[in-house]
Amino acid sequence: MKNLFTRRFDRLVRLAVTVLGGALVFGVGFSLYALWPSNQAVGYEPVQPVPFSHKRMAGDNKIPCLYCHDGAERGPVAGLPTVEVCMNCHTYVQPKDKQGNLTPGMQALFEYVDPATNKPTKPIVWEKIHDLSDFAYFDHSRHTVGARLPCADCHGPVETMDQVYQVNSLKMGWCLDCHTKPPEPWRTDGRATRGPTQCTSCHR
Amino acid sequence: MSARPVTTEDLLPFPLVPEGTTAKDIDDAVSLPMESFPTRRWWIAFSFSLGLLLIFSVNVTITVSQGIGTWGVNNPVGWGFAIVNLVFWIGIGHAGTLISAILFLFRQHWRTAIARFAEAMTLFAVLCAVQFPVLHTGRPWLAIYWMVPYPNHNNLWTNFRSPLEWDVFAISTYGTVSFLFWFLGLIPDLALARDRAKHPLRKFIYGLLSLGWNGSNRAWSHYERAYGLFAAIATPLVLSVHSVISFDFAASIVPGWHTTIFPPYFVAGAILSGFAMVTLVVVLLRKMFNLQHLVTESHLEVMNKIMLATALMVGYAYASEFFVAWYSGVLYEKYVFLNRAMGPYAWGYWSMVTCNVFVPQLLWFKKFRRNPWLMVPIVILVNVGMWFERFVIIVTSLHRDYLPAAWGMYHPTWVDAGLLVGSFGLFFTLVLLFVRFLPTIAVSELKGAVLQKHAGAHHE
Amino acid sequence: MEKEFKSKGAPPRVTALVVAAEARPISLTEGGRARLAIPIREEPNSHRSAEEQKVDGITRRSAMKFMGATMALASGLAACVRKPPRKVISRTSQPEYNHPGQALYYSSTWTDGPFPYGMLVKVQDGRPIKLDGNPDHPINKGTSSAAMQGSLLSLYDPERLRAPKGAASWAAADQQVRGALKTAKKAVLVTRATIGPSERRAISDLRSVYPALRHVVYEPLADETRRSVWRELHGQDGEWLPRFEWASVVLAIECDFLGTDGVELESIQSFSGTRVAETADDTISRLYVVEGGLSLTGTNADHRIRLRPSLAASFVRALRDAVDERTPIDAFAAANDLDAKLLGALVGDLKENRGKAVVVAGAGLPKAAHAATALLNRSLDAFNKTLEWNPQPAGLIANSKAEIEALVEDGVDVLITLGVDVVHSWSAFAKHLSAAKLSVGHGLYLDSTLSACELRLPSHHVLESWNDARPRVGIISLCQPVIMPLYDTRQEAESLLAWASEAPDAAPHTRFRDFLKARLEAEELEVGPGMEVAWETALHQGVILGPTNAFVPAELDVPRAEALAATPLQAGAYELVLTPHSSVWDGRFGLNAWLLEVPDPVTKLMWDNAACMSASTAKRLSVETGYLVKLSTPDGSVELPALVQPGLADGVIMTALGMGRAYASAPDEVFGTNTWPLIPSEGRVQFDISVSPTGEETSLVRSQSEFSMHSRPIVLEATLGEFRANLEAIQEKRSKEHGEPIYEPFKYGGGHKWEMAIDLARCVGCNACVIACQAENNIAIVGKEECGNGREMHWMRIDQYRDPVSHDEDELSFHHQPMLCQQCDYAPCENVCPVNATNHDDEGLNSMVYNRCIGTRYCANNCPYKVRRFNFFNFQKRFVEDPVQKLLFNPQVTVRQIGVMEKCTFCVQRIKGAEFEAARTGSEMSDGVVRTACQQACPASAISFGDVNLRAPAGPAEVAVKQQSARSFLVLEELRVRPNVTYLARLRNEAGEEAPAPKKQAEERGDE
Repeated sequence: MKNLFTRRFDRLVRLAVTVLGGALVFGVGFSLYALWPSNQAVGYEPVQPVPFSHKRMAGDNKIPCLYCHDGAERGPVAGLPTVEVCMNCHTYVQPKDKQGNLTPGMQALFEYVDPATNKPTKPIVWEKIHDLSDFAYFDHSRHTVGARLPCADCHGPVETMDQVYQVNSLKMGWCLDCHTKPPEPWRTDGRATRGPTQCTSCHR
Repeated sequence: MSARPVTTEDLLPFPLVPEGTTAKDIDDAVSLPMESFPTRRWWIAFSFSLGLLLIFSVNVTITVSQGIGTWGVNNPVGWGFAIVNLVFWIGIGHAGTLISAILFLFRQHWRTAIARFAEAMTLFAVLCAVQFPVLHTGRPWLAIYWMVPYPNHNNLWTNFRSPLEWDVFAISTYGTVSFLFWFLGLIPDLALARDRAKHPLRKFIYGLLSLGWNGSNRAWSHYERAYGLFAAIATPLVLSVHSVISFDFAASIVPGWHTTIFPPYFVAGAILSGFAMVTLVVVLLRKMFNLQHLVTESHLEVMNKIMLATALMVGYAYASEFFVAWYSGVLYEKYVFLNRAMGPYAWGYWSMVTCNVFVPQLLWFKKFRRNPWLMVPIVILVNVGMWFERFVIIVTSLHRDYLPAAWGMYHPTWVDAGLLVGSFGLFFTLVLLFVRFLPTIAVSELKGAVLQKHAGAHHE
Repeated sequence: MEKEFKSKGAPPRVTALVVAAEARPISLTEGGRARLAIPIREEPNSHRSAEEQKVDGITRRSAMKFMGATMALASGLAACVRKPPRKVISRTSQPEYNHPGQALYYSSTWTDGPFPYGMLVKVQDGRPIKLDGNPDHPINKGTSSAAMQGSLLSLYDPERLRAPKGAASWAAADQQVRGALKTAKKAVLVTRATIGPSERRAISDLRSVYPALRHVVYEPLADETRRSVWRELHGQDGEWLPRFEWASVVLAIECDFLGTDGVELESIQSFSGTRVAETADDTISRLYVVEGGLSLTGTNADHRIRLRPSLAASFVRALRDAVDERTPIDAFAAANDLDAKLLGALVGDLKENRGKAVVVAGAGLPKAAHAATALLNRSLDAFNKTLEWNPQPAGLIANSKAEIEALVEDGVDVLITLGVDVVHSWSAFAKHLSAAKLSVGHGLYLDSTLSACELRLPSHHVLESWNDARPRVGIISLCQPVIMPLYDTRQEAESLLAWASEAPDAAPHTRFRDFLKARLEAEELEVGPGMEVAWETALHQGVILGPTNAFVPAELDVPRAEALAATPLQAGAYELVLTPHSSVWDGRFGLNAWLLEVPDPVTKLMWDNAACMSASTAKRLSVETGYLVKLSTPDGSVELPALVQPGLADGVIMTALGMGRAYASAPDEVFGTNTWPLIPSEGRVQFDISVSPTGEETSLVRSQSEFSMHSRPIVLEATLGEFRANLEAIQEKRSKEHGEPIYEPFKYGGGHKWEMAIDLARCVGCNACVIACQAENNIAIVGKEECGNGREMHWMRIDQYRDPVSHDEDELSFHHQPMLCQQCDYAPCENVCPVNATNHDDEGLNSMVYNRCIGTRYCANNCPYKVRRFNFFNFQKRFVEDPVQKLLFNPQVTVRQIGVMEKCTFCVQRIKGAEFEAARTGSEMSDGVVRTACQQACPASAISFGDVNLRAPAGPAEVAVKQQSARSFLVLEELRVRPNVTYLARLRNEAGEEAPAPKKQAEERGDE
């Protein structure tokens, strides 16, 4: 009796099966890669309401991180500078461009300040960049004072960034990497041997 | 050593098919439901089970959208109907593998007529079963993939010490192997269906599914080897799956759960309920599609014998549980078992004992073993009883455990009931689709037996 | 500054000046947005709406990063799962002391309750998140009660009245009131009894402006009957305070001094202090309780004598006769078939302990009983020894309903109620309100009183108020706001000032502060270093302590007392004992879900009250638990479900007052039955009521259904004699653990090991710990229905067990056992979790990771103590979504989502907080630096918690010492799960054993 399927069709079927199978495998692998959280957060760089350049402040002017983020050595939250803190300097330092009008940054800042009195009028609403899940309890001081780690170890070379972006994934795996086997320098200078790895350290 | 080669017939407890049944009769009989337009009976049954399936999906939606709170589970009783149903359905599945694999290895050729049903049932039962463990978790949307060990950005793995984790592997393996085994067996019959099919589309689909089966000796020898191989792989699963399921309880410290008898006890129970279900389905289908001459009373009788045996085993297990509870002298064990027999859920316990131990005793009588309409109520009751067995184990152990101050009661809700009933809808819908579109009896094997029979006849 | 003010045992506190500054950006009206942006801990939602996805467009950098089609696709996919971006809002200027994420503590005073206790308020990011006792307060000494803890919830209650109703504005309202008062011929001002001296001053000032104004005190549960007897017999106002710490025999007659009668926090401390014996020559006090009802005190008695309240007076008289050896007690015993032997022992104990015994009679009893008790105490030489005279009770003398009725019945022009829901407890008052030309209601909610008023004025919550209180002679307790008013409200005293003067309110919310400050300056403070410092110090400490030299009242007028004691009374077939509700008191907390949901310590009822009756009474009435019965007194009748409560005297019905309150917005959402209609004009005991089953049935929700221990090793107990004879008595009763763990036991690093010890000899079973835990750990309220389904979420529960003491099923002894996660070393829950959501921590904690939990509930099944709680629904939804209610959450604790398991964590947030603090400052952690919420609240200091690995000099920790006690045992020890909570057995001091020798207490007293 004659074959139900031609040889070509048969080959076609086999091919189709192979291709589909391959596509499936690729698809799963790929979406895994794409959804892999470390591939999302890293590089997140929202536009901030005030064009504030960490490069100029922390880089060129060498203002220490703690001047503005003073909570970092005091408690869990590093904190953002209050508008007052900005005005500590900018009451006197008000950079202008060649035309002699205030730089965009300054103009933006003055939207939050009463130019007459230089007193803050309303809070600045920043875009959150380093955003841990609410169920993860991170304590800055534990790392800055306790383990004496420099800010850059987690936040990257902020002093080189005009607009800050996220450098590390800040995911649990990433934390655990250091908590289980700290990078060479820390161990050698005896700063951090290893961090806690129990759930309760971060989840409560 | 006799001169004449041993034939299948010598191994048969009874003739597989009536005298003079030819290969063609078998082909026709089995293919009829696939080729003819479904009967009214089929339609009625089908729409009924679709209705049940709808109930199921409605209650699934309610559960997932509103939460487990819609069920009866509460603080002392953390597991309710869902886990009862899981164990129940997994149990149902057992008969399939047992019949197709173990009986095959023991060359129990009478199995051929019912093996296909049984295997199909296994698949469908497992499908029903897996619905529940996923549903019963508080956050199913996470459960379905967090239960699976995979490398992730949290450097977190599953807990391999948890019996629930073992279930994941046990059940998935069981499901996969059963499917492959079943499909492998189907191939020659699908080829048959292909060759008989008139409509080009049917021809095409069956053609694809039969993977270009050409019935050559080479194909047959490969087939046989593969089949034997799968039987060998599937055999240990019959014992392993329900043993692992029973670890969910045996590995805990809950009085009434923490006992070493569970694995054999669960397997025996599973086979009992499995055979009860097969018998039920077979009796109905052979009536529906006039297969009485292929699936004979003798088949039913053998199955009933097995049920009787397992019923006795189960009865023994019940008794020994009580003995051990008393003999252990453990305060809590003693109380749990007294509470089962006399407590607020005594009705559950006694209906379990009645259905699983007392009712099957009727099968000592040949009449009950051979007459379909007499055995139907029995097998139904056995299934009810087996469901209650799991209910008793789970609920009565949990609702009164160690601290009396924490004792409570369990009251199932309508959602619980809907899910239980609905799961039967899922099951029967699949069964009916199966009988409509696939050969319900292993034609090739049966023919093999028949032809051999004739061959044997020539020796005289 | 903080250091300066640091006082031992208390966290650093700052003063009110700071509050004003720091509280500014906090009210919802001004700069509220900034404050709402403070992240509230909650699980991020897994699904995202389309517009949310639009938000994170691919920025320049990520665009560079994701070159090429596949990469773009990747980021596209990524965008679908990235959680929604959030804003961070920086303050405009930094308030002093205030650092984001760090808590501040303020001392204040809890003026809501029947007695003003000192309060320490934890404020984080500008919102109060926890109340505790003020350690510097001489009366509650840092401990707190359930009701006190619960008052935090009512601050954020969305049902609070948010603006004046019946007048356009406060100014308009004041105008109206002043106008009305000016023209009024008769005006009445109704207040609670416990109002502070400054408020009283404000009232008298107001009355001097409007002479027509009369001030009446409405306090239905005031201690008036008892106090009036004392007033009558001593010829001066004041009260006798029992000094349990000096008493070796205590006899309580229908008096729940550990629960709802008197200053319970102080009583519990002093009483439970006398209940601990560790060595063979230690002794403990002996408590006899004679009652018709069943009180919390009764459940803690060494001997309970069930006696109808109608017999109380004659019983005390008989007792006095026996003590004075006029007539033996046997006659009385025979007449009322009581256990003569036991009564004999009682008399014996009293005689032998003259000057070391005290008899207290319940506030609900009639005058005769109190007169008789006074005489008995006199015979026992208790006055000025075990009883101390306080000439200045916290509350004003309350007016009886009759007096108020007489005053208002013929119509008044202005009727003002200040912070008291009169109508709930006295429905007839509503018509007086409507009759008045102008009726003014000042309160927190639109309750039944305010709804009946023309002018409805919203009050501050106590946490928003300035105030002071005089709990007792020589103590001034200050109350300061810790948050700016959430709504357009005003505290009552502020209104009084506003009505007294035409002057417009210049500085809102500070007028009364200035008034208060002025008064203190004038009268209370010795302004040595200058007012400001004195004032700040006072606010920081929360109390101003004056001279507390012992006051001796005039001699008891014996003939008068005897006459009064002899007043005969008629008793019928059934007697009724109306008690204040264990947590909602007279109903003033009757809208507080925490306090409604917490199980009653005796009946274990939740969200409800019932007519409790002994088993035999129930048989006589042929009713069962849940049957509706109709109670009728001359004053009125009420239908409520019966509850068979073994332990009551036969023929006595006991039920709680204060239930059945409802928000005006949801009048049908009533929980329990309002039993106030039953209450007579005075006295809370009725001697002749009629009880009839209605034939209907309803269901009662209780947290516990089984009270027998089934002879399991759960609560161990010994009698004092047994224990002193053999110190190993308890150890011998311990069950031996057997079996080996399947798995390798957890290896500890030898660092901290946190363990807890609970002394059942001290625990009296009050609910303070339960609510403290609920407040600290963001524990959900589930509502009556879900409680009925057995889904309450309390991490800590108090199990009650009952032992028969005789064949009579109503003769029982009781055990209370706080039950919480035992943090087992070989925790059964840990092995069975498929996703590792609960596992062991190297400091001995059994950690529960909510965000990893998928909710199989296997751990709960496998927990022998059944202390795990599951979120069957999204219980917290309402709170998380409400902008006000979510401010309640403790930001240090994750708010649990639907479908996850939770349980006691030993307040791990406090442990880690302390550890990080220590690491930051490089200091050693001393014992007691970490205190769990339950431990901090416990008035009996029954709970010790600490690091058992703590070595000298800092150690050994208190908990480690307690574990070595001869009374220590573990619950279900034979299971070999190695619980980290050790219990210390209670000792029953049975009569007939050697009479308690008060040696120790006497010495202590000498030291005083």
